[in-house]
This record gives sequence, C-alpha cells and structure tokens, in this order.
Amino acid sequence: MQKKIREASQVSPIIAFFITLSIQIGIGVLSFQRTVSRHSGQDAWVVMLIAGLSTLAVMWMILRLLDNEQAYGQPDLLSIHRRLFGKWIGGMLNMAALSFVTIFGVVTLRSYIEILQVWVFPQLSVFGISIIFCLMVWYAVLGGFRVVAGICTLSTLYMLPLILNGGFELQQAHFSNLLPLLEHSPQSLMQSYMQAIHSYLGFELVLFFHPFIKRPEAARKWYYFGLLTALYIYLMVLILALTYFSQAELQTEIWPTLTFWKAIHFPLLEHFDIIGIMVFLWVFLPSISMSAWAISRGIKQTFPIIRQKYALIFVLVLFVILSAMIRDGARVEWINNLYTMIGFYFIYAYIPFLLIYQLIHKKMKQKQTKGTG
Amino acid sequence: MFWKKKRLQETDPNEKSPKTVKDLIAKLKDYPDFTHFEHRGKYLNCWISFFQSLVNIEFVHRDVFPFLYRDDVRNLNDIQERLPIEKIIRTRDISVIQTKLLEGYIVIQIKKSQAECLVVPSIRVKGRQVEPPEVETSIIGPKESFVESVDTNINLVRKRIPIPQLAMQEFRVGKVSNTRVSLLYLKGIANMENVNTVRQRIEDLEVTSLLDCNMLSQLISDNNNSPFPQFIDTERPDRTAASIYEGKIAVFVDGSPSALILPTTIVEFFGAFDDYFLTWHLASTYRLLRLFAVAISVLAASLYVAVLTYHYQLVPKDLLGTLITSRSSVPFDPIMEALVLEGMIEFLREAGARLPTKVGQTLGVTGGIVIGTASVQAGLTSNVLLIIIAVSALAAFTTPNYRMGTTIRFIRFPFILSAEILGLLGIILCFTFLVCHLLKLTSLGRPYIEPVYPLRVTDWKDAYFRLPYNIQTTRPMFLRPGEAARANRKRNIEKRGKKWTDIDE
Amino acid sequence: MKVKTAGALIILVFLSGCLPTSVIDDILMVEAEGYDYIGDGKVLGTATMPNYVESGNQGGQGAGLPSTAAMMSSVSGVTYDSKSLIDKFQSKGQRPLRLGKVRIMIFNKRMARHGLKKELDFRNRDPETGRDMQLAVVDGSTNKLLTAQYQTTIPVSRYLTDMIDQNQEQNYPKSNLHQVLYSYYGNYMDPFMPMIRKEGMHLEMRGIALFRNDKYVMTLPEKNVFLFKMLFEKFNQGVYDYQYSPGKHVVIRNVYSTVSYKVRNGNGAEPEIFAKVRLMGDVRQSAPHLLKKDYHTKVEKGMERDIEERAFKMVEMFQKKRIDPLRLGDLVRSYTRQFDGASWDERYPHAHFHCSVHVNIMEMGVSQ
Repeated sequence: MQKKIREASQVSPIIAFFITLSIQIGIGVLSFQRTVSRHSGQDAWVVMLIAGLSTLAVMWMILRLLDNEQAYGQPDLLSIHRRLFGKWIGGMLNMAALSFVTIFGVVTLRSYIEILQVWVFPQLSVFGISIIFCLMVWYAVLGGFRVVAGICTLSTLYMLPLILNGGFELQQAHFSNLLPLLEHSPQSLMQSYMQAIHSYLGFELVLFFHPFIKRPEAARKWYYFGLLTALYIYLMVLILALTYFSQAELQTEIWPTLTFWKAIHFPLLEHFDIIGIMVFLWVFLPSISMSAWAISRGIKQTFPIIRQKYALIFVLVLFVILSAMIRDGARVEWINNLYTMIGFYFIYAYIPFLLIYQLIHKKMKQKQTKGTG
Repeated sequence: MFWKKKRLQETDPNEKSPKTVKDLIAKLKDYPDFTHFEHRGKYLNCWISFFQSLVNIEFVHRDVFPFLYRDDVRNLNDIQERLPIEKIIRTRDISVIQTKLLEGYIVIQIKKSQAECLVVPSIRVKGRQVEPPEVETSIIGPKESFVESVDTNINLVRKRIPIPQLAMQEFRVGKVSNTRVSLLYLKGIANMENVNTVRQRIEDLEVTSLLDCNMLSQLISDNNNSPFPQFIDTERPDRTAASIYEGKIAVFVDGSPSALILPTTIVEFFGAFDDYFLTWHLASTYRLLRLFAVAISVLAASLYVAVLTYHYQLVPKDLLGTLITSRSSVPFDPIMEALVLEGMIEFLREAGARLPTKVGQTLGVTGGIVIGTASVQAGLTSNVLLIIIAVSALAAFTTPNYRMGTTIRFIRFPFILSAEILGLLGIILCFTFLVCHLLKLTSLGRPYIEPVYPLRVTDWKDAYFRLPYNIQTTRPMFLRPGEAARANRKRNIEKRGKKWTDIDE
Repeated sequence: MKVKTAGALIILVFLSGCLPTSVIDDILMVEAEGYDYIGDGKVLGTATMPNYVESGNQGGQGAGLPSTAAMMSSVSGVTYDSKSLIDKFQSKGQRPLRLGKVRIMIFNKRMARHGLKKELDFRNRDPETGRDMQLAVVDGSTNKLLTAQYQTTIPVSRYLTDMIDQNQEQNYPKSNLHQVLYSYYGNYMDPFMPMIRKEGMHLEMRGIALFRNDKYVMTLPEKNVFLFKMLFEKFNQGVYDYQYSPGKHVVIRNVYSTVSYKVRNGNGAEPEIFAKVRLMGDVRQSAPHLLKKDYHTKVEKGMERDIEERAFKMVEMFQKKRIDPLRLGDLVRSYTRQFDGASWDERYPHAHFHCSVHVNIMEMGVSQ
C-alpha cells in the first residue's frame, strides 16, 4: 500500500546516532537536576543511571518490533498499528500516538520560550515568538527528512561547547556532596524515576523515522551508542550540579545549569547564561522539527489524500495555538508532568504490549494459514 | 498574454531567415565589413565572400588566394584537395554557411547563385596573451591565468593533464549567440552521473546569449534563489587541473576568462590554491583563519548591535568604559550607527570596484581614512564600531573567491537587522535560517556543506584542514568518483624508506 | 524560496513588536548596592553607578557631550527591608537603571544582624545579576562608604571588588554570592562574608563576618583569617605570621596548603572530627638567628603547635556560638550513613575537633 522510501531522502546509519542523541538531550537537560534529586538527594545519579539503562532495553524492544515488521511493509509505528489492529482501531491508535508526539513538540517549544521569557526577554510574546520558531521549523522540515537529520547532526556539534563548559563547574565542585553513597531507600529512588524518564523521553521517535535510515542493521549499534552518549551526558551534568550546589540550594534552582552559567565569565564576555540560552536553541530545535516532521508524515500516512506539506502547516499552526494556550509557568509544569506520565506508560507498558501482541498475531496468522492450507 | 502578441506583430514580417545563399549574401552585402567579390582567374572563376573584421586577411592573401591561380585548380573539388588546410567544409546547408561565415570562415562559390559552397577556416584570433592571474593571485606557484579564448584555456589545462582520458564535450549555448561551451573531465575518475547532469542542464538551457561562465553558473545552479554561489569559478589553470584530477568537472565558456568547477562544497570556496604550496601546518592554519574571518565578518557588526542594544550584561567590566565613552557622543542607536558605517564601507568598495584601478586605490585609502576619522570626530559613529566594521570588511575579503566574498558581505545585513529586532535571539534565529538554507542547498545534487553533513570524516583531510599529501590518498567522497584511490597508501609509505625503529638507528 | 525568507523576515519584524532596549550608554548600570538598616523594617538603600563620561570623549573633538558632562553616580533613599533597590530608585533615575552588572552588595552590621534572608532570596531568584558578585559586611555606614571620596578616582564599586578579589586570592577565603548561597541554603552550614571598613581616604578588609543562617553573629579577626582559610579550602598564596617569642616573628608564605578531614562517630552524642593540614611554605621574613640548623624542630614544630592550638580555639569558639562557617556539619553528614540531621544542632557544640598540622618550610629566601 505504501510506497517505498526513495533512497535520496534516506540518511546513512551513523546519522541515527546524532538523531537519537539530539532528540534525547532536550528540555530536560536544563532543569532535570532539581526534579530528579528532589526525593533521592545525592543518589539521584543512580536513578539516572538505571533509567538510562532501561532506555537501552526499551530501544531493544523497539528495534525488535520494527525488525519483525520489516517483513510486512514499512517498519514504523503507524504501519504496525494499521496492520495489527485494522483500519479503524489502528487509525485511532495512530491519532493517539500522533497526539503524544504533538505534546512532545509543544512541551519542548513552550519550555524553551519560557526560559527565554524568564532569563532574557520578559516582554517576549509567546504567540509571536512561537510563530517565528514555527516558521523556522517549517522552512527546515520543507527540506524533508534529510534536513531534519542535518539539524540533529549540527545540533550535536553546537551542543559540545555547552556540555564542555562543565569543566568550569569542576573547579568548584564539592565531591563530598555525593557521599554517603546509596543512602536512599528504593521507594524514594522510584519516586525520582519518573522525573528521570522525563529527560530521557524522545528516543521513542525512532518508531517514526526508522524507515528513513539506510541499512537498518548497521544503524542498530548507532542507536544504542546514541542512547549511551545521552546517558553519559545526563550523568555528567547531574553529577556536576550535585557537586556544585548544596542539596537544599539545588532545590531552589529551577534551571540549575543556567544558574551555574551565571557565574562563568570569559575575558571577552560575562554572563555566559545569555549566550548559553541562545545556543540552546539548537539543542531544542531537533526535538521540535523532528516531532513536526513525524506528525505531518503521520497525518499523510493516516489520510493519504493530505499531502505532507499541507499537513505540516496544520501541525505548525497547532503548535502555535497550543503553546499560546499555555499561559504561565505553572501550566508549563503541568503539561510537562502530563507528558512524563504518558511517556512513562508509553515506553514501559505500551511498547512491550505491542511486541507481545505482534508475536501473538504472527502465531495466529501462522495457525490460520496452516488451518486453511 | 496580450502584450506579448502585440510585440510579435511589431516585428518586421519581411525579416525572415534566408533560404538560399543568394538571400544570405544579399542581406549581408550592406555591411561595410562584408567582402563579396568575384575572382576571375585563368583557370577558375569563383565568388568569394567573407567578413574582413573576422578573417585573418594576411592568411587569406598568403595561403588561400595563390591556390586559386594555380593551373591545377579548376573547380571546388580541386580547391578542396589542393588547399593545405584541414577542416574545409563543402556544404549546401545554409545554416552552417551562415554560422561559419560569422565565425570568420571564407565562403567560396563557383557561381553566385550556386548552393554548394566551400567553407574555408581562416579565423583571426585576437585576444589577450596568457597573463598572471589578477583575481586569484598567489605569491608562489604558477603565474598563468585563463584568457577569453576557450581554445587557449583548454590548451592550458591539457598541458597539465597530458593523458587521453581527459575527455571533452562541446556544446553551443544560446539561441542567437551560439556560444561555445566546453566540458572537461577525466574518464574513469569523474562520476558519470555528474557529467550527465551537467550535460543535460547545459543542453536544456533556454537563453539567447551567454557571455560569461558566471552567467552559466547561475543558469545551471541547483537553486538559483540562493545567494550562495554553487559552483566555483576560477581563473587558475592549475586549480582547474587539480580539480579535474580530483574527479570534478570543468566547464569553459568561450569569451570568459574563467572556468567553472563543479560540483563543489562550501568549504572549497575558502581554500586558496596557495594552500597546496605551503606546508600542511601553515595551510591548515590559514584555512582555519579564513573560516574564522568569515565568522567575524558575518557576526561582528550584528553582535555589536545586539549586545549594545539589549545585552549590556555581556560586556566585561574592563570593556564597559571603552564602549560607553566611545558611544557617548553618538546621537544614534547602535543599529543606525552600524548601518551608516556599513553603508559607507559598501560605497567605498563599490566605488573602488567601478573606478579605474589607479584612481580606485587612492580613493579607497583616502576615503577610508578620511571618512572614518571624520565620522568618529563628528560624532556620527564610535571608534569601536569603526574598528569592528573595518575588520569585518577586511575579513570578508580574505575569502579567496570573489563571489563568495560578496555573498558573505551581503548576508551580514539580515543579521544586523535581526540583531536590532531580537538581540542575540535574532542573531541565532537568523543563523538557524542560514544553516537550514545551507542544509537544503545542493551543488549538482551533491550536498553543499558536505564534510559536516552528511558527516564524512575522511573528507575533512582537505576541507577545514589540509593534511599532508601522504594522507591524501583518496579522492573526496562527495564526488562519488569512479576510482576513489588516488595513491596506494602502503606503497606510499614504503617508498619513503624504512620506518625508524629506535633512536640513532 | 527567497520570497518566503523575505516574508518570514518581515513577519519577524512585525510579530516581535518592540522589546524594551537597554542601549549601553542610555542606561545607568548599578554596580554596587548598599543597605543600612535603620530599624523598624526600614532600610536606607544606596546604589552607585560608575560614571564613564567624566573624562570626555577622547575621539570626538568639539562634538557630542561636553567633557564636563557627568551622569548621576549614586542614589539613596529609605524603603522597606527586602525592596528591590532598583525599582525603588527608578523614579530618581536620570536614565533607566539596570541591575545586570551589580558587582557587589554591602550591608552594614545592623542590617546583617537584622538578617539578610529577603535580600539573599531576591538575589537567588533574580535572573539578571551574575552569580560571581561579591557580598560584604561593612563596619560603619554603607551609605557613607559608597558616597565618600577616596584616593582613587575609579568608581568605588570597582575599588571594593578589586580589593576583595585580590584578597581572596591570598589570605581570605572565597565568599562570592555562589559561596554564600551555597552555605545559606545548604543544611548544616552557615555563610560568611568579608568585613570591610572605611579608614579615612581608603578602605580595608577587617576580617570575616560570620553568620548564623542569615544573621550576623561575630567577626573573625584578621589574624585568624589564615587559619580559617587553611581549614576551609586548599590554597597557595596566604601569609602566616608566627610569633616565636615576644618580639621575634617568623613569617611564611605558603606555597601549598591542603586539608583533609575524617569523621568518626558521626551520629553519636559527641562526634569526632579530625582535620589534617599539610602546609608547605617559604620564609618571607624572620627574626635574625632564628633559622639555624635546628629550625626544623624549633620553628616548624613551634609553628605547627601554634597553628593547631589557635585553630582548635577558633573552632571551639564557633561551636560555642553555634555557627558553622567551616561546613563541618555537612562534612559529618557526608561521612555518616543515615545522618541524624535533626539533632545535629544539639550535638554540634559537643563535637570534638582535632587538628593536626604538618608544616614544611621549603626555602628560606636568597640569604643564609
């Protein structure tokens, strides 16, 4: 039913690394230190480590799911839904999945605008700036998946200096803050787990873009490698924040990384935070443009009459409206929590379910064919 | 539309292309430089016609006419056999006759109304001698540059690539001008897909005239709405030859003193050919310096505007005093100040380019110094900005390619304007638009910002850096060359002698 | 595509509307804030902005502002405690006041005793100011300190910060906003700031002001600052003056000093804290005939004993006053599993502090 994807719009396997990494490092990285350590204190890094490793397991399931699907058609979530659940239920599930991705995009966009408003331009209008962002995303996504993947690749490059300046933090680190090790009970660790997952979410978009990677077998290691790098970056950023701030102080900082940047100064510029926030646009951009791309493509797949370029405009208008509807910081937090909840169940409950269902479906089919044959 | 129809009607209905040689000659006879006469010899009577301004008269008198008086020349056949000139055409095709006549051939007929003609080449080649390059000058290395004649240019390249694999294809472009366009590449190394794309694009051109290869470059570029040049133009035969060896394609246009090299990536615009003559450390440093200069040139003025308008926090304490004192007497906002100065620099550049060389130089220097100092003293601009703008203008011209340099000077204006509107956020948004644009851009279907995206680390060896030659054993991957290996790495190392095993051994 | 880009740019212009600008020479950048408590929840606030135009425009001759033009350089006024001074003084500002370059905040003793809770909270919340700014307590009036004339003509804010920065490279421990907030918000530790006084035409550092939570408690005299820094962090430029016997001094400049702690019985009624200091230094000055062959035993050992004794006394005093600027409580926490934080305040005065110092004199200057 679906056309095969042209090779010209596919990207080489190594790009899978950059995409996974840059989508995972998103809004979370500026603010997760506080939320993750709220319940688990200095042991938050353990939670982060466990959650990161669990993403590897989820990724294994996702890739398994997609590999199994390869035999039947295009290996992506929407095709799987279609095939397993039929046109109507599958279509409904597709819409649900797309709304989840929409939330992902909107949360990222709105959180970045919030940071801009708080730190740089309090007078910035959400409506105006989100239109400008969406114009930018529109211009990028018009170029197709290759350009979106290019943004992911470049984003990783621009991210480097932001991550590397953690070295300044190291000079004032109190490593005794990490002691005593493993003091917290498993319950309090579990409470932090949810927040840790919030930072890691994003990689499940593999379910949408996987068919666009050339030689999927070769890409597999790059997916895992991307996840591991993200895990490493998160761990490093978290440990730096834990050692730089005292525990109770950290709880007062909504964006610990930015607060830390306020203290950096170079001979030619002070207040690194402003520069950092601006460059951070490139850390957010992959998530926003990838989600816009995934949704517009999803709409095209579900309703084949709509062309993707028109679907894209619809998606971006939706982004603007939704982010303008989120008026204040409290609502940003609310939608972040909602997103975490849905994401949590999506990756830990829905994906295993889908994998099992796929196997059962296959068995049933085999029996049927045996029965009839 | 209506007006188009009207125009068509206005053209003279009698003005149609000639059907016979007689018509043609009748039409051309009015032109004073057209010569048409009857030769009456002892053995042969014939009509000879040519353009005095196009043929080599001396050659005609010395080498062609004497033959017409010989006793063994009785008809066209004899002329064709006896004349010691290659490529004599015997034809009845009126279009060939017309073209050749206008290229400087002599047409010989037996009778005035006879359709069969002999077309003898005697083209007068008048043009510049090969001279040292003026745009892409180099301190060391070859001092030859292309001239306006395509044959001389191809000669300059063939001299450097003396092998039969150097393939050449020729086209005629332009409905009216019929300009010669030649395409050179190495068989077996250049990617045939690229060659076919270029050929097809050239053949599909719908133009009346083609005067220069930069015009051609814009006509066949992938995205002609982009301010970025997508093919390199060079006036250096050595650079062209090196590119052909790499697997690229060179295109020459008759009448244009430069060659187009395609496909290219954006970094190649920042590599000067000098880089290959210096040791690799220096060459790499200079390349990085040029890229840094580009960044300065695009961003310096806009950063000034953004920081001084919105982000005063960013200014370090020791610089605050300097900035504020230099700005305290300026009545404008930073944006106006920047635009005024940028405008002045642009005027100077444009005036320098338009005026004759000698006047231009004087004007540039005096204008720069006098206007700069005076505007600071008059309180129109600040000292600091003057330095910034001057440096960024200078930095833009470190780019070896003139077209790229002007593009860089152009794209700073959107940056300055957006810096005024949204501060640093505006700069980063503008930058993002620029990067998205570059991500989309292709050169002959190959990605424009190649070694970065798609990420191909092996191509970095001759992009941002120029690593030593013994590492440069493969051709650039983005060209998808027919043969990737340039030299055998292993043998390359073996020939340098034994690896040293220990100190003093 | 270009049409689209141009369209996008135009939309960009219209959508963003007008953001308030702060053109660098059209604003007044506050560099120092002073708070004098005058009782009853009222504060006399002072803000100073450096004056850059005073010297005139070097490049411009005959144009622009006259060389005598000077902007206002300080404002002061009474307001309630915790009010943002900038907002208060905006009505007195010749040009818009901006907070982004505040480099130092100073409080008088009474203000510090009253408590800095609200000011610290405000600073922590404020995205505009840097986190490497200095805080200091002033012995005397901050208003007088900030508005007085000094020997130097550079702005007083810069004079203050230069002085504090330079001292913190040497004997004084680092105490910028980050350090203060770290201790203020952190559990089981208390902040400290340098103490400053105006002496005639100049300023001077007068020791360290110690706090309990946000309230000033006491001043650590200047002679103990070296000991404090030695126990607080590793450093390499301090100068220690050891009185060998009355009238006979040996001064060493430390080349390197490290401290490491051990804790025993962290949850007991009387926790034990062991500090081990290694101090390497060169002799700067010495009373004649003191550095003979047996200087090892005489001077080094004597100095070790002296430092140990004084450090012990200093910590004992902290315990008595129930303040913890050395962050010993946090130290005990990090060494103790399931640390009993609730009773720490009770147990802290009973903790035993042991200090062992090892002094190593490396060089003795260029003369024998």
